[in-house]
Amino acid sequence: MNLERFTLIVESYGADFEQWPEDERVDALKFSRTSTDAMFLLDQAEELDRHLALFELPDSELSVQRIEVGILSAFEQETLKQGALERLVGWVLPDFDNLAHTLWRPALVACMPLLLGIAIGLTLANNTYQLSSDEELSLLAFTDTASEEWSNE
Amino acid sequence: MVEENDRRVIEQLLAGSEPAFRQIFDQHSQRIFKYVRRMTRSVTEAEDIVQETFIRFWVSRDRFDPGRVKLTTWLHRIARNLCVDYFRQRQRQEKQGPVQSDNQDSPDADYELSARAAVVHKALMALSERQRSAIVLCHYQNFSQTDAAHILDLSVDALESLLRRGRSKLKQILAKELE
Repeated sequence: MNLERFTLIVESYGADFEQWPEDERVDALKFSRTSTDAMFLLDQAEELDRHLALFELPDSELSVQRIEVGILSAFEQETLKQGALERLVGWVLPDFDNLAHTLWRPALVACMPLLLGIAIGLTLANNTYQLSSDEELSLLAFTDTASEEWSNE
Repeated sequence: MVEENDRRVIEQLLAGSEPAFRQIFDQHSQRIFKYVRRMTRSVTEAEDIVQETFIRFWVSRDRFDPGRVKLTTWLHRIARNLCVDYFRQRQRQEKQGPVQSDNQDSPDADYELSARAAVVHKALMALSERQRSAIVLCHYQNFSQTDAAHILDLSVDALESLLRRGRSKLKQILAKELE
């Protein structure tokens, strides 16, 4: 240990020898007791350590409680999302031990596009534009007149 | 690396046990909160970051290797990374326009910083994030050089250099503010 290394240690870790690097601690401590320069450095570092000690924080039960509530709430939301998805997948997938009674579920899911197509088709069929009888007559008349005119010519 | 008492809890946690997670939260939350509180401006910011720290820890618990790193070091590393993300996000917001001030402690905070503690906190906040983190980890959280360097993803020499520059800057600021 020399003054240069001791200066680096004290300027980096402060005057508390417990915070010094473990492998150099004993040597540095011995050095601090023999060198007046080292003692001066320690006094200077102690002043900053005292200032830093002013910012000691007590335990904050209230903050930890709020954090805990936040975590629980996040977990519950995640569990609910996961739960709904897992329940749906579990319902759809057939139970191989009871295949005869559960096979209809994936079959139903597979038929869903077909059922959806039928439903859409029926809805569109009901909504087709219905011509009134007058409109139909005029269309027929126009067609007949036109065809007669063409045939006369 | 892991004490025998903790080993069982960690094994249970890795297997997905929520009671084990709760036990770890009870053991480590105060210490993590104090680290983050010293790194951030307010109690509210610190609470949000600590909450996210434990959620991330739970979600990515399979990445934690108790044979390689201590649990407390791992948790501090997650917290530190979230602090860095938070500061980056805040910096981006500040560039875009004025940010609503959030540096007041919530009114129901169960402690108030004394005037002198607030001066030290302000001085710490004047340091770079890495200098501040190095000082908080070594001085307040009592981490060894190796563990602090691991949390900051640095070599021990680089950590020492950060600490020296940080303490020097703090000394200058506090000499003016506290004398």
